[in-house]
Amino acid sequence: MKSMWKIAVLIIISLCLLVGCVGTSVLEKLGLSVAVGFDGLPNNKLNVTSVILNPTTESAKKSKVISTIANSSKGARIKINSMISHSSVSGQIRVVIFDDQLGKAGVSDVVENLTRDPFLGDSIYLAMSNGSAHELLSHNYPQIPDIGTHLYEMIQQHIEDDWVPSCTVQDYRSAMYSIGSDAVLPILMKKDDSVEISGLVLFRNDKAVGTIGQSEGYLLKLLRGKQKEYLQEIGIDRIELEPHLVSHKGGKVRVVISNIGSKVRIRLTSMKPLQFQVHVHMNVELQEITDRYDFSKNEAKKLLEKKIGEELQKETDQLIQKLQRMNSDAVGFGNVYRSSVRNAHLTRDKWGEKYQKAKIQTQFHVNLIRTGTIE
Amino acid sequence: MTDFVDTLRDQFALRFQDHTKIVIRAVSSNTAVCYLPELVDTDMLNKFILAPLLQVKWIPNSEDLMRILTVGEVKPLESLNEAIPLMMKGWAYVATTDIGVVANVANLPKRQIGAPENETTILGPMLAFSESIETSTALLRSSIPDPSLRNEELHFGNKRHTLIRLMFMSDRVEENCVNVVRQRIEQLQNNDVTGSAELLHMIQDNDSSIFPQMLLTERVDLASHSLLEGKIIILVDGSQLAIIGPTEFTDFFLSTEDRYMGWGIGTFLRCLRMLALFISVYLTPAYVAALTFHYEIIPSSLLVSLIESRSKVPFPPLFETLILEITMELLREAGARLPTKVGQTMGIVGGIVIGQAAVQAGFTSNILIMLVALAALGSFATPNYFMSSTLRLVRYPMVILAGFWGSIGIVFMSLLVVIHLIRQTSFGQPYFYAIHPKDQSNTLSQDMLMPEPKGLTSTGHSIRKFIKSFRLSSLWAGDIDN
Repeated sequence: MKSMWKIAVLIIISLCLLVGCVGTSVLEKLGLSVAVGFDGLPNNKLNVTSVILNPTTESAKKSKVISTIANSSKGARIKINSMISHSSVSGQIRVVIFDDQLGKAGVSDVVENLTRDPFLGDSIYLAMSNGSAHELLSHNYPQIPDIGTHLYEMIQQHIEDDWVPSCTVQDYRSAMYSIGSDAVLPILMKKDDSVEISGLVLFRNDKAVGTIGQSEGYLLKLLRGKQKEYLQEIGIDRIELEPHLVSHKGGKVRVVISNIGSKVRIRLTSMKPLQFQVHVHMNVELQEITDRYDFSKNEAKKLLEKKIGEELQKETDQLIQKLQRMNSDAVGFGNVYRSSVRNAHLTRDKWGEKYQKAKIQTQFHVNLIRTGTIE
Repeated sequence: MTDFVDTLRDQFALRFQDHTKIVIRAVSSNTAVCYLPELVDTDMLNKFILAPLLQVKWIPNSEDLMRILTVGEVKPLESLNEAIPLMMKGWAYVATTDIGVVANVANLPKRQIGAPENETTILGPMLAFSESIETSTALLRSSIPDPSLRNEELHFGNKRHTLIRLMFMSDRVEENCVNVVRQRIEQLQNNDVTGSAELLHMIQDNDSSIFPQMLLTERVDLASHSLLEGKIIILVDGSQLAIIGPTEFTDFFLSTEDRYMGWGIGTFLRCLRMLALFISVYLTPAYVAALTFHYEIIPSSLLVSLIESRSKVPFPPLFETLILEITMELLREAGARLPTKVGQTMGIVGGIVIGQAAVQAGFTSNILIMLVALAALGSFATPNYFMSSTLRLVRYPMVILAGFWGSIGIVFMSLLVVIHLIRQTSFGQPYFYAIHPKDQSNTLSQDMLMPEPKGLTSTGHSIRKFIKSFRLSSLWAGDIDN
């Protein structure tokens, strides 16, 4: 028993001595960067902008922005470190933004080096800025106390309940490295004194090849099977709905629907020529219709369902053609192909050729389950 | 006549060294009654000892003497030495020239049966044990009127002659346990104890552990319920707390009230107390670890307010937390030592004034004030006072290690505690029973207060079955149905 105590005391003493070996990082002594922006410059240089949390009870601004020109992102951190009073750390980075120049040139280098650092998580959001990222981050927004957190919350909210597909580093890398799908990231745009998500940028490998707008983004997220409840406005030609319309105005009939549950099935129907069939089953709720429509008859409901489906199908076909033209497989038809064909031996280039020639048919099965309380 | 009384007086004077006032009442030339006046019931003495004695002329032997004395408890004695300890407890000694008999006419000071004061519940019987072992035994006996409730008397100590009673249900208790307890108490013959709390520490399995290994209760319903569960109750004369053993770790987080509440609310309350356990042990260490080492895990929405409140504090998080924790302990200790009314005022004044001033002076961050208060609340939610003090004590090494090594320190300390608990026994029974050794009975569903099966179709039965089907041990054994 006595020797046990001796050993215990020895262990405790030696452990206490070990305390000095652990490096501490006390919260208030750190310059926590929340968002980082990369701007591509000539000669492979980068203009790195870091948003550092700097809350003092006195000032309304909770962050400060520091930027520097460097050859690498870590090189930039060294330089930034010499510009602030605290030591700059990257463990709280939530958003990484790069400008369209860098997007067109390829962002892999930046992203790869981000993932190399264990302090940066896989759930960091990636986004592209329309214009310079430095300008987006360093602008003095009177309404926004901390632009880094603001961007993070904005992107998070749009991913969770809106039309933006998930855009974390993990998503980007998994799309980039799997043959048969390509990454999609949101585009951030500075608009006067606020920031908005103006659309989505489509990638081919690690290069940005084109952009799509908000309503196309909605359909893309729908096809990827991740779309939650979200409102979508559809215009249907007046003539198509004529038999059941009560009022008679001009122009298109605008229908606002809310998707409350959808199922997407993509099937490879033919190898040569390459054909895909996309079935989308949607349960929708009618939120608004600009004309008075007679829902009392069953045919009227059926007709509206059919027309909504047709309209969505038309838009989706356009979107898929656009994607094919850009040769960006954002929906992931390649993955369907690989999982359906044994020994596909697909490479990126092979799939790129096949994809552009593929015939993709879509079909929407809309089920109008509620038309609102006015019956 | 006077000769006889004088001899007796001399004999007593020799033994009591003449400090104790003993009444020696001569009844006849060769008979006298001796007693300590402050301990006996004079009414009883007059009616049942003196009156019958005065009516007889000649007493041939002790049997006859005992027949004359109309008192419940009488005992023949060999020598005066045997009489003294009993006289000290209020018995009267009736002596003739050649025989001696003691009769119980004690009227020891005792109080009325009161309501439990420290272990209050909202529902449930308002009965507490009292300092008199006879009352306590009577309370238990009346709550379980069954012949299998055994009652073993042990005497303890060489000065105080404390009476100890082991009570258990002979058909439910584990025989080994009783032997262990009996042996431990017998080994301690020569020590003196003032009460059950002291005895508890003398007979516990592991002296160096800070975890309580037996329950101490003043509630009769808890004790009688434990008896029915097959546990042993130890009553000590002069102490209003009964010892319950053997115990498991989880027993310290159960209140008798849970049973009165029904299984839904009861289970909720038990889960709440488990949550309180984790809050009280881990909340402040997690704060220290996160602020000293792991800034990455702080949620982004908390970052700004955390940095803001920390920016004025001159101490590292470890010292900040230790200072506040110790302040909290001081408040609690001072409050406990003061009279109730003053104590309450002090608690409020201390809490508000010190807390508010500490934040304004930039001494601590207001987030930490909240966390420390929450941790203290968590430890007070534990129904057992010993256990709640232990939890507060465990927090200090946890905080210190968290300040030294961050989350690794917390994990290290947690492992130490778990290893310690698993090695621990209570009366030779495993202490961390539900977890190690792997539970054989249905402790889990007992702790979760699932409804008892009333018939094969009752929902309680199917819920139990359902839960059992998920238990690993039953999967391995392949018997899901029993």
